[in-house]
Amino acid sequence: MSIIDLDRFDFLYANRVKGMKSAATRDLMATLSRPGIISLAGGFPDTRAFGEEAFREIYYNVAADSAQALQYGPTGGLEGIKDVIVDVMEAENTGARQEDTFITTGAQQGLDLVGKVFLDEGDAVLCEGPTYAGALNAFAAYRPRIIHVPMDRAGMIPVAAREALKSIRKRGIHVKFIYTVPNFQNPTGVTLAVERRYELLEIAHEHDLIILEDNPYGMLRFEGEALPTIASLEQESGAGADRVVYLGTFSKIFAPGVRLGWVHAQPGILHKINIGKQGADICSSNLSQMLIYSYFRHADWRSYVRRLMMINKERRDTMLDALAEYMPNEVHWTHPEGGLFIWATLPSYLDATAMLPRAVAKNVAYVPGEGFYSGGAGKNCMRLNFSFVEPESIRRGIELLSEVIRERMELRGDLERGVRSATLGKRPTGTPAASIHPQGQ
Amino acid sequence: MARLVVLMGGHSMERDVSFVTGRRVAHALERLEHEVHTLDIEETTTQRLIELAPEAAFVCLHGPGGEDGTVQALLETLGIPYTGSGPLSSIRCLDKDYAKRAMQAAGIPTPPMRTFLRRAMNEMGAAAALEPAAEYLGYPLAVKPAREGSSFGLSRVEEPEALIEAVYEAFGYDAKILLERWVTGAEISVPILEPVGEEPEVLGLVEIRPREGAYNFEAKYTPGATDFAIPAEIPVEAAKRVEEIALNTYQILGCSGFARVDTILESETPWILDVKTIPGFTETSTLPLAAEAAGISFERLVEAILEAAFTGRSPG
Repeated sequence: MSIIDLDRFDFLYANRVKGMKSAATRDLMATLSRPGIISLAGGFPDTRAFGEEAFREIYYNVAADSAQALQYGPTGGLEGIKDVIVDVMEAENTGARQEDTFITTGAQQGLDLVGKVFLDEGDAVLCEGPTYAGALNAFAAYRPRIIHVPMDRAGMIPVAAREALKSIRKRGIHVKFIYTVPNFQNPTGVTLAVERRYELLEIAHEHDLIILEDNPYGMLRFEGEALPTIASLEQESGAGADRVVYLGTFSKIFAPGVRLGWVHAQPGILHKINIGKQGADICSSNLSQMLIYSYFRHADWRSYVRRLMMINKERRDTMLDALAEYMPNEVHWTHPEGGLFIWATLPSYLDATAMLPRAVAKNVAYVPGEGFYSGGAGKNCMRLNFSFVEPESIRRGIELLSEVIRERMELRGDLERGVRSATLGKRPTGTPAASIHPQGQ
Repeated sequence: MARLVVLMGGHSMERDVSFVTGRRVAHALERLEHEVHTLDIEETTTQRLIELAPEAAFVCLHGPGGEDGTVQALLETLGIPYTGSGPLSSIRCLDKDYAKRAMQAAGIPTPPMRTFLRRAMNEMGAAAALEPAAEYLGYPLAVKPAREGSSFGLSRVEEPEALIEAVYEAFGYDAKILLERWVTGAEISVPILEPVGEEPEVLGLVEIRPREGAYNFEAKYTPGATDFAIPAEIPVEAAKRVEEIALNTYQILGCSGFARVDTILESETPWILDVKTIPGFTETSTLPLAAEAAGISFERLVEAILEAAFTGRSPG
């Protein structure tokens, strides 16, 4: 008799990966590659807009210094690209010092390194509810407690953050930082109001916490006025870079394929991050850094971003119009002034995860909301991406999606009606019918 | 050497698994020195099949569209021999409602069930019949879509309060669902191979022992999430009975070439849950694992299935 054990080193794995499971939704997401599907599920910028010629040119420039491009580099990044970052941050009205800048392999690595540097098992992180799923994944390796602070149209609610901090501290739990995506947040598209940015700084000051400001979308504004970054507000107050650790990325203003982002923070924190990165990947790719340097120095990157913004605005408008035209009255959504995402909230009894197979069967896909929470909330919500799909497909996608939602609402109605009539018929009067409550927020 | 097409991908929820199966089969066929063309299911598929005019098609599609007779009927029309079961047998097996009714009629033990259609819910208020159905079957019970593989949309319902959520979820996958008595016991998968000119034979009984709770989609395709015992560690008499009933089921449902019969051995009774006419061929799938344990290499298994395709099949 033989037991076939498909993974015989199971007993050797670390506890932190034993608990990691592929989410059910990820299995469903795997079906999205099928032909004909309109995927509103991605988080991708449209890199087709860049063009082959422009790409060839920057590669040609890099070829002149091929020896360096093919070599290892300093852990914190090449000097030239740090100058580019200072320019990019200035374009967002955020003063940056070259020496406070540290290159990472995507902002995603910044999230991981900040987790590595600050989090012991059981420490708490305060973040928006919902929050960026990739941050939850990055932090998960360090096994923190994730405390979601509710949001409204103006972002994380400071009063709720204060209350959460008070109650966690009472329980003797060590809170290390507040994580926020202040502009056109992933997944909601919501922007944190200016006064709340000040208030978050105040809260962090009172409780002596770090603020991790993750700002991949700040430059992607196509409407309204740009708001100051939290990092710039801190500098304005005269403190310089102190408790705000700022994460930036080239993924959205240039291309995710180069996998480059950065951390801007005070030297003490960067020193620890440097140690963390040496163990992780020694340095980010010189080739990628030189590509970016060449592009940002020789091409008009601002006009490329403006071109992307025009594309995104048209697509967001199309999505908002289609939502207004097709969605049932019970569905609500956000109105982002930039970024890539709209967040839709369905009636509380609808489960967007359970609905995804129906949507996929009808050739439209989205990301169910629960993945953006640690611990099961957000089931009746979904993230819709408007940056990657052509306007006609967005329209058709929203039309299909609204059909699925109506169908599910109708099924719910049929089920509840049937069960109620059956149950009421049997129970003595005054006893409530079988509860069919939703698992929503 | 033959010119062959491997059909994989498709539109079902098991699209990704189908790719893994298809690529593995395609490699094996290449190693056997065939000329192999892989095709996904899209608008141009029929045109491509006509142009390529393959000598046979190896169907590696799972779930609706690929395993329900759709592609089989098309291949029949195009006069291309194909692997596995024919259109009628395919739809009978993929639709658990049809399969179980055919089994019941033939006296094969399959857990009692009740069928619900979305249409009846909508036009006839059939939700009112859910509770009586559940009472008849008793708790715990399984709620599952009728035409979906890989445990998608399957729930175990412990109490009346949880029934409606499970029904709601299952309807997310299909317009027809089943409520089925929950049977408990050793989970035994019975891979069957029918080489050319021979009677169908059981490759070996595979006992599935998931490490955490149910054998769901994740456990099925994640190495390390499941242990298999090959052969199943059950008494010889019981093993004989399981084999006999599984082979009987294979024939009653009109399968050809190969199939996998899924059973639960509850004390003396081998309950037949369902039959997969195109089971997975991934590295964690039970059919290739059982073949390997029986001394049949993956190439030989693929070759045997292919040979059966050339010989044609009885109507079914």
